[in-house]
Amino acid sequence: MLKRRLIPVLNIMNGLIVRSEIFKVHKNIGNIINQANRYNEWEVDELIYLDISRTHDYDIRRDDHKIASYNSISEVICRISQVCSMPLSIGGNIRTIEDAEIRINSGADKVIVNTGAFEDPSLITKIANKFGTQAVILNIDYKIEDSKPVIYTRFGKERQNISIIDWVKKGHDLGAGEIFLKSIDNDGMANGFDIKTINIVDKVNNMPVIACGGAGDDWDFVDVAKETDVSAIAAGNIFHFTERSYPRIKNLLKKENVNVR
Amino acid sequence: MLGIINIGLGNIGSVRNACDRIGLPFQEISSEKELSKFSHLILPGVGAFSHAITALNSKNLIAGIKEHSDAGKPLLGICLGMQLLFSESFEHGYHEGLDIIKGSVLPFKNNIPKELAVPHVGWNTVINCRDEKLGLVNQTSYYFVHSYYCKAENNNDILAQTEYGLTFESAVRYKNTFGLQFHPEKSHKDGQALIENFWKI
Repeated sequence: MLKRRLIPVLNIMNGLIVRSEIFKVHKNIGNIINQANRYNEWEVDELIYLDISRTHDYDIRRDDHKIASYNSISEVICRISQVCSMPLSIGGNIRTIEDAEIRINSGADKVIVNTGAFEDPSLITKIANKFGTQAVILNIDYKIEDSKPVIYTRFGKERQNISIIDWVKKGHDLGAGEIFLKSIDNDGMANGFDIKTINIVDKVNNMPVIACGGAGDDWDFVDVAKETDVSAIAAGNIFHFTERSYPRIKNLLKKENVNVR
Repeated sequence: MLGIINIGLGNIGSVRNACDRIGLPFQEISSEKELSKFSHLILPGVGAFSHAITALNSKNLIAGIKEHSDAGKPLLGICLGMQLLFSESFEHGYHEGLDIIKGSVLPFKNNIPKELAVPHVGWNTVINCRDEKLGLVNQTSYYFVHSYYCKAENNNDILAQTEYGLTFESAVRYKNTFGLQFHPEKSHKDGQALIENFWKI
């Protein structure tokens, strides 16, 4: 049967990999191609890149590590897809069908939309019609307010009124293929996943859900695997900062009888 | 020389990158005049069956592809490319395929338990393998992403199957025409080995 996926998430800002904590603090943590190579060697199930550049220019900078950054997201994706033999998804700053097209033509298999879909819901349909439903992932960022999940766009700044359940259903009807669910509260805090909300969203319909936000130690992955039926578990910082964490976590999941590759 | 058929639907970059990594000499094909000079053909595909057939028709590629296949020359259909090899598809209506593999392309929706997500996306295993040329081994995982599945009429054409709410054909073969429902170019070393073996035919 279909295996559960374990997906590293990398935040790119202006051509460099960065760390994210509650969407506000960013520290540079490495060269994009080095990271991509490392994940490819580990034969990870999939990779997700989130372009969290606020501005649209990619400065050429020299930092302490003398690492070159890249001039455009297109160049970044092209280089990554040359070395990676697993599926690549890219999100961030995708507002038009042209934005999606550039990324897919550069080598991305799927694009992830969030704010763009709120500004123009037909964006989902346009991308799905051109590249297929499987090419569109709907990113839903949320915070818990009064014990209920509330959707936020624009990197956590703009509150949305539509309920998470209604938005998932709408996304499905518009043609989205998967949901990428990210907990803003748990992002970068290493306190565990928000199991309750993950289950709510996963049961709305039968779209595959990728759950993200909160992974602190290896057992957090076991918890979310056993207490939910999510199709995929994603995490950022834990895979970048701890040595061999991806293979180690996969092995723990297997030992705990979770069906992973 | 390997020819990668480009019908302008979705990008063939992943297949190109995979061939680059292996070191296979290849060229992209978009017109029927070039078909005959290639020893091997790959038909990749992402998107809708009807769009793909229309594109193949408008570029006059269908006759040349069938000729290549009938002559026993190696042809590999990937994902939608495999589905196109079949007789017919029920995706958004009814469409005829290349009819190289007798059988049909059907929707997962309403044919598998409701709790199972559609599209079928992620890593799943092949079973009932009957293959000597590509190197498919039972219980190997590959990356799938599709909403429609194939059922072949002749058991002899089935190279491997996969389970997802039902049992469907994940690899098929007729003469030296092969179809893979999953993406070998996105399935790390195990996928890469299949492409390498295809090249050796």
